[in-house]
Amino acid sequence: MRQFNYIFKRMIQMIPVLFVISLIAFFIIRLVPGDPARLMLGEKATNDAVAAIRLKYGLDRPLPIQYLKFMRGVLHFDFGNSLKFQVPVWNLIVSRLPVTLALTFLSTAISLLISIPVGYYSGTHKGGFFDRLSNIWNLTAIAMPTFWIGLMLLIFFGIVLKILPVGGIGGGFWGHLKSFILPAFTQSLMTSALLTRNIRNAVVDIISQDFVDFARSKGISEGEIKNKHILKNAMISTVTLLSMRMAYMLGGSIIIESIFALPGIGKLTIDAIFARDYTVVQAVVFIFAIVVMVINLITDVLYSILDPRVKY
Amino acid sequence: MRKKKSSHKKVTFIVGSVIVGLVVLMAVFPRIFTKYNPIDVDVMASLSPPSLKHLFGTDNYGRDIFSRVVYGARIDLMMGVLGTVVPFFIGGIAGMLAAYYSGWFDRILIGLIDIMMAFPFTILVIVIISILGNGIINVYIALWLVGWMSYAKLVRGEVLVLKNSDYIQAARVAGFSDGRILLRHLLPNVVSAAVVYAVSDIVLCMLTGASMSFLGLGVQPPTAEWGAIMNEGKSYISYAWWITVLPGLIMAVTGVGFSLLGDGLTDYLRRKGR
Amino acid sequence: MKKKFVTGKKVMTLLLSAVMIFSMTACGSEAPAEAAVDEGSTEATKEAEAGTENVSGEAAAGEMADSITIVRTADAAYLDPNAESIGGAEVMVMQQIYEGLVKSSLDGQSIEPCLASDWTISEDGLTYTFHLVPDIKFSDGTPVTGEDWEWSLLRARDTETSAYAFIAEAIDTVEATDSQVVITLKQPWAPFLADLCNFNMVVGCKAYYDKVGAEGYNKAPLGTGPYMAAEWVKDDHITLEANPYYHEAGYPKTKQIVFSVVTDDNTRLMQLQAGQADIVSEVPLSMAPVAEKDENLNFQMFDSTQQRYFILNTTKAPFDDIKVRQAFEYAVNKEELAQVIAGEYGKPAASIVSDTQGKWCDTDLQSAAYDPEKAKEMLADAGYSDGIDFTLTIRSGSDIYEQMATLIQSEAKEAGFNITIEKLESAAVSEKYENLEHQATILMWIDDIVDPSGVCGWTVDYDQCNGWYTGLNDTALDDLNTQACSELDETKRIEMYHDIQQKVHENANVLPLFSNGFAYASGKNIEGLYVSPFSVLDCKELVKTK
Repeated sequence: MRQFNYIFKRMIQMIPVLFVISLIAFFIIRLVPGDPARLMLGEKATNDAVAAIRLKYGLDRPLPIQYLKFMRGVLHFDFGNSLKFQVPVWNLIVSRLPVTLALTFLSTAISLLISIPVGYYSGTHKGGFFDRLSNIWNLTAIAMPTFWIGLMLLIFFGIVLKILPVGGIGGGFWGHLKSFILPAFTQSLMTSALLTRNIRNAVVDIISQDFVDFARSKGISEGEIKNKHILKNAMISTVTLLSMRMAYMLGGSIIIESIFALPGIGKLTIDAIFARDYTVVQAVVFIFAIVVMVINLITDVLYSILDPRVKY
Repeated sequence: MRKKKSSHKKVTFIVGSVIVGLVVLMAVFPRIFTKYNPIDVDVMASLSPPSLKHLFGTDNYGRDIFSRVVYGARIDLMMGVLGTVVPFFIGGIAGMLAAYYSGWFDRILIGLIDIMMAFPFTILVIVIISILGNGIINVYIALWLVGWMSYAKLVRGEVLVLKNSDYIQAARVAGFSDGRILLRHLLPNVVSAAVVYAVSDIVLCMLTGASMSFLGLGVQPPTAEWGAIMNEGKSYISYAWWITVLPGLIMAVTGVGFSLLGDGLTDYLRRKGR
Repeated sequence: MKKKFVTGKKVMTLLLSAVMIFSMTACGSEAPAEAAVDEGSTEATKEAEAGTENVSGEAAAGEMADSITIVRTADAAYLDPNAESIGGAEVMVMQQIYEGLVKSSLDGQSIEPCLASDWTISEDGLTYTFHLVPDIKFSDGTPVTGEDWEWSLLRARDTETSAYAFIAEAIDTVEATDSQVVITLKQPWAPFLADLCNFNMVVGCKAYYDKVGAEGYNKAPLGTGPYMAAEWVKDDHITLEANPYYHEAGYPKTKQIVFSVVTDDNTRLMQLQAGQADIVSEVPLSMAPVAEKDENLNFQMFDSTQQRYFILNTTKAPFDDIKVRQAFEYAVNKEELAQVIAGEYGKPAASIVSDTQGKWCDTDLQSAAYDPEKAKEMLADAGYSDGIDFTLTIRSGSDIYEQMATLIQSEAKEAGFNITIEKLESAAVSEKYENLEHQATILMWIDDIVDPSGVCGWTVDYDQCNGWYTGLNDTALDDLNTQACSELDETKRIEMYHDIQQKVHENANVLPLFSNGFAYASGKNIEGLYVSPFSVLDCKELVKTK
């Protein structure tokens, strides 16, 4: 019940924040110089045609009125039509989101699969050869340019070995899976390094704390200590870190998606920014912000479940 | 066991320092490393593979890639350092003041940070650069506008904890001025956490800046910058791999150097702190 | 024509796709696939799958494959020929769907019958009478009526938001029956027949438009061309199916054409090498060597009317001084530009009109040879002995513009021009051009029709775009251009256009740099690939052998 109240309170607090976010989402793209009408018409644009287009899409109306129109749409789950693609923005998002979500979840899964065992083992065998090796690898992985790693993997597996596709999302289930291997792996490199390091340090800290000794002295078996206490406690900070990384990956997918030619949200966003596709940018930025806020909320709730010390 | 570990740490620290030192040297005195001018076009020598004459080969204009990498070091290093130092000060001061005085300033700051952090980092940087227009200065500004928040949050958290400590309470009771408490007592205690973060942030800023020019934003041609060199080489990747592979390698090594250095520094600050 | 782009049930679809993703990551079962290409309805999804199966071409037995995949850089935004945003991406698809009264010949030198079998032009050049090929049907079987012709041609003229409405501007009235079309012009207009070959002067179905509305027509248009739109997943692919009612027996030769979008240059070529695609359009010139060397590919360079130009803003210093502009021509090495950027396919250009336009191009014009010393002297004469600094603004996202700017910067430096390159995004750059805020830029032109009136009007008719963003309003030249458009005697007309080309050269506000062909790569098993100088790819001849 207390948790429910907490969530409720947090959601109430979100309302004014959402209002400001909608303002920013709306105005930020309009601050960028360049007229979408002229861009639509291309290099052979006459001034009359530009004026006609501005009239047709309501771009000539005062900004506050355009903003109200945007907000009225938002309340009805209607983000209007994309200026560039001439289809409802919502359809574009629906068709692109799965790619980005799949990429984010796959790379999260890969990161967790690597970082939990490696971090745990390193932490419990602190200072050993494996720990040092993993430490150096983590430092390296964090420092490498993602776009370069992506290109290198692409050259090696796509061009030299020719065993994985060089871009696009392939056909059929295996085709899709194969297309996602390289991008997901590239995307997961930094996250898995950060997570491994975090888990390892948390494990080291917890082992040196009194309550593990205390548990041990109470005759709780070694295995139980490991499972219940060490891992659970190590997960607290990991959840926070992971949520931050997921939010980052959703936005950072732009670079991965453009290297591997994946038709995801990131690609859609950058194309829309360049095309001054106002309706798409304002919707995507707004939705992104909401998703990030929801991730943060979920994290806080998870945090409170994992760590009973957190007070509301 | 303990001794062994610290000697291993020492090695990585030294390796890190050497790498970073070399890159700094490149950035400051590029002429030591290469006789070529990074923007000199030599069409006759275009797309030559790495050789003794052109260590990293040449690009489609026949420009020497190695010299472009060497001269590019300055910009990339500046992106890393300036992209970190300025937010470090702005964010640090804002966070410290907000936490120490609480009240409306704190509420506004936290609200602002919550809102800004809800926007995806990369998209924010791209949009800011688009608003300001291409150019290296605008890349810095974009990095500053999005970078200060982490520092403000970090320092604010630390100050909030310290503020109520017996030690600071005692200083207050003793009648020390706010300025003195902030500078003499709080600052030294909160700065180390921010420094640790800043060292890893250098790499992140460098990577972000380079990714922007890789996407075609940021630096103007023919300026040599690592991300831009790789972007230009991308079209030739299937037959002139050196334009993309080698500068990226240097960039990765530089990043690792900073990482190792930062790791050593973290260790040092931690030990000193305890 | 079925309606493919259902917009309803949005929320449900999003939830469904989210559930699919979660289930996929949870237990590794079925895929992001359908979700990824889902435009909004389950119906579309099924068809998309069916489409993909056909694309891989496993189904058909026999000699020829059923489907050919063309990969290109960008998707079309519209398929209505009078829509607001029309570029190469749109035209390439529309050319397969629509047809007009006449068309340009493949070599781009003459005008051929299309839906009109023959025509007569009145003495005064004002009335055109076209006799229609009998029994033409739209791809849904509806016969083409006179009303469709009237509606289509007047719509091309009267759609204010169309960037190409000017092509139809000369039309006064259209009167059509089911067997002939009579067009009266406002004044004699020499390029009119050539204009009729343009992609927006085609016949569409009025009844269908009235039924589906502007939006529906844009997404699923109805024409008489060899193909019809079957499926369109925005920014991913457009699938065309053969028109069962097509008027030329035996055509199109292949049942299905898929225009697939792959923005990355490397990926496009690699997909061809991997057999995922059959034809790559617009192979970047930087990659021509790879495509040429690959024995499993056919690399073809088609003659084009594409030229690149250096644009000098005459309303701003230093190029408000004609002497500086003339000096600049000697500071640019056209040979080197052509060679580095287009290799053996590049040709330095002397006239604003492409020499692919044949007789219309004034071949007597000689372009200045690169001579930095002479440029320096000319600059000194103009009072700039210390050299000149200026900013060259280019559009980002184009490798070629960037390469040209870099080369020109280094060439012109020898002659005392210190160039700062400013790379801006398309949107910012067009605003700058419009307000004449730039000092200089690089642009390109591809003719759409067999006539020089396009590029000449663009350069000298000040109302079109301020003299191609040079701000030069040469009224005498403008008048000459207007006369050339209404002159019906071809010999005189050719003379006039040669005159215009020479005068533009003297004004030195638009500096032609070089021309290059259209680069295409295809699999060895593809036959019938041909691209006209106006960048028209006719898919009806395409065949893929097994």
